[in-house]
Amino acid sequence: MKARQTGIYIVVLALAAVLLLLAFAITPFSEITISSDAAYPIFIASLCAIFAIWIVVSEERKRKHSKPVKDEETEQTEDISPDEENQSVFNLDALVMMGMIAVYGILLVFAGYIIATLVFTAGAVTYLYNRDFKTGLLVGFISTFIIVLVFKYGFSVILP
Amino acid sequence: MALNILFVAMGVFAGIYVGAIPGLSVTMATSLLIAMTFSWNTELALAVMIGVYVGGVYGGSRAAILLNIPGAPSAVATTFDGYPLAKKGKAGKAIAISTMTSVIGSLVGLLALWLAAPLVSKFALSFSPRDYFLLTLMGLLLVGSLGGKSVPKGLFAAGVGLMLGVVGMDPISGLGRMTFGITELRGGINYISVMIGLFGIGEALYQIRFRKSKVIRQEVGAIRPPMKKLLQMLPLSLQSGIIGTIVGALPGAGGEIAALLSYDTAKYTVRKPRVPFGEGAYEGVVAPESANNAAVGGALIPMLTLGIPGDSVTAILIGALAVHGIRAGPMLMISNPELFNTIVIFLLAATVFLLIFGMMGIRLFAKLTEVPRGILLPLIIVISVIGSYSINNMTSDVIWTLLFGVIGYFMKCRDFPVGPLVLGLVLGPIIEVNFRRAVIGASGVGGLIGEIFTNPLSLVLFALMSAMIISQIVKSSRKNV
Repeated sequence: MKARQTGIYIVVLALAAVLLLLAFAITPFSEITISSDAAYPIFIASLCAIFAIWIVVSEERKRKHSKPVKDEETEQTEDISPDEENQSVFNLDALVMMGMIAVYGILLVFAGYIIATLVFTAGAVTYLYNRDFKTGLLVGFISTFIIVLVFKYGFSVILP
Repeated sequence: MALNILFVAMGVFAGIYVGAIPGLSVTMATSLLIAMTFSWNTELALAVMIGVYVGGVYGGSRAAILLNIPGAPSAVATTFDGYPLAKKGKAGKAIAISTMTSVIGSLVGLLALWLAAPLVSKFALSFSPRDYFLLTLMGLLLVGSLGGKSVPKGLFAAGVGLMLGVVGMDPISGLGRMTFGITELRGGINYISVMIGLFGIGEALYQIRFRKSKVIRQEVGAIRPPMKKLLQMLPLSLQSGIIGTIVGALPGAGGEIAALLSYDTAKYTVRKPRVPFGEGAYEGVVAPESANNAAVGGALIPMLTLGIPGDSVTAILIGALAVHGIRAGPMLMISNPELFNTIVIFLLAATVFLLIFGMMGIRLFAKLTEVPRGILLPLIIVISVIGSYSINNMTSDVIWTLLFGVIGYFMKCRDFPVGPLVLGLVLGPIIEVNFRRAVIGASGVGGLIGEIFTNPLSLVLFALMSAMIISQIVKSSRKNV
């Protein structure tokens, strides 16, 4: 849990620092006035930095006051509760889907909406629904057909 | 008009379905609707969106009562007594009561919208940039502080949203800011793409983690409205409806807070419930259900009169109106009063259909919620992509959507609320323009502070904002000790 928390702190503080740098880069420092185009972003980025520090402080205080979970079988105390484990960012299914989404984005540009959607839905349904390729392919074909029919011809929406 | 009403009915039906499925949110559904309704006329698009909004808020109670899983955040409080009632075999009665009181709540919100909106918009015309700045900032602070489990995380998300709103041309000088020389960024980040990414793809990615959870069959018998009980509950329903409307009208508060606050208030005002709260009291279903539906009408008040979204769904509605070339705000009521009347009629029609669909077709809805997530979630992603592309027909918008989908997933995993980020992005340009106009008009910050303390309205807004900040800091530090 400590490593997880440290990861959040690093991301939040780094993001706040980047926002501050970006805000200060808008106008040369000597030209910044309260009504200039950089004043508002600097103000907001500074607030973000304060909130980022507040997150670190409050999460640390929360962590210090929370009791460690005791494993009933081994009688050892664990740092991670089952609920927190379920909250893990690195969920395999979600990460695989993100990969598929990235491929989908590339296919959209190079192969067009219909082919990209067919490949994506067939692949995603196969992966998510019992690894059943036949169902995946069937759902891919039917859903792509219906989507194109409804959106392109029904709602006159221009597809990517 | 008949076609519009038909689309309201379809929207309510779809909304109840979406709301009844845990994990599918009304916000997600309305963001997807932008794609579908893009080429429609404004009234038709609004008809279906308002239908989904009203139906979705109510639909959340189905899963809350039958499965103890709130179908929507606004149905969290309904689980406290709804599920114990279902366990006692009174699910049918609980659903009937929730339907009838949702209708009462919706009517209270509608009445408030109809009466208050014209007055508020007239009053809003007298607002100076200084007042607008304070009001929008107050709304954003409220969203940030109420939006999730952690106050600083909500405020940080709102701050990042505000910074994203800075990207593009400076609203006063017209110079590019944080564009890195990329032409596509000069127009700013399209907030509809961001919304669709965060609420559509982000939510779908998040729900994938639970794809293996079994589809639970919802068992319920016939729904019979207990009229006698309903008459007894009428005062509580009206009281909760009023609370829901007021809370809903606060920028950013939304149905979830309204429902929880009404439930809490009911615990104090109902002196002797037949069954204690938390063990299956009908009052515990009446209060949150009346309030969350009343909050719909309430949330539309700041949206239509001030152009400030009352919650995430109204933020999307503002975007949907913008897609159709309509700008929400005080001028809308003056330049386009027919649109306001149309919205009121749609809301009324949606309430009637809520009653009809709520009392019928329970078995059909139960079946619909059994669609496997493994099939449903990829389809949500595919439709999200169409939604994003259809706004400007630009692939860069799709890339933003996919990117923010992934960001939304990480935010959800780490308990960072996404609502404040979206509202920050929507409200950011309004806050900045009004802040800078106020500063220029007052010849500097000193002048602006002086004006705030000499103008009664500004002073009230400033006092409210300060009280809110102090109370949140105190609450947060107490929570952590």
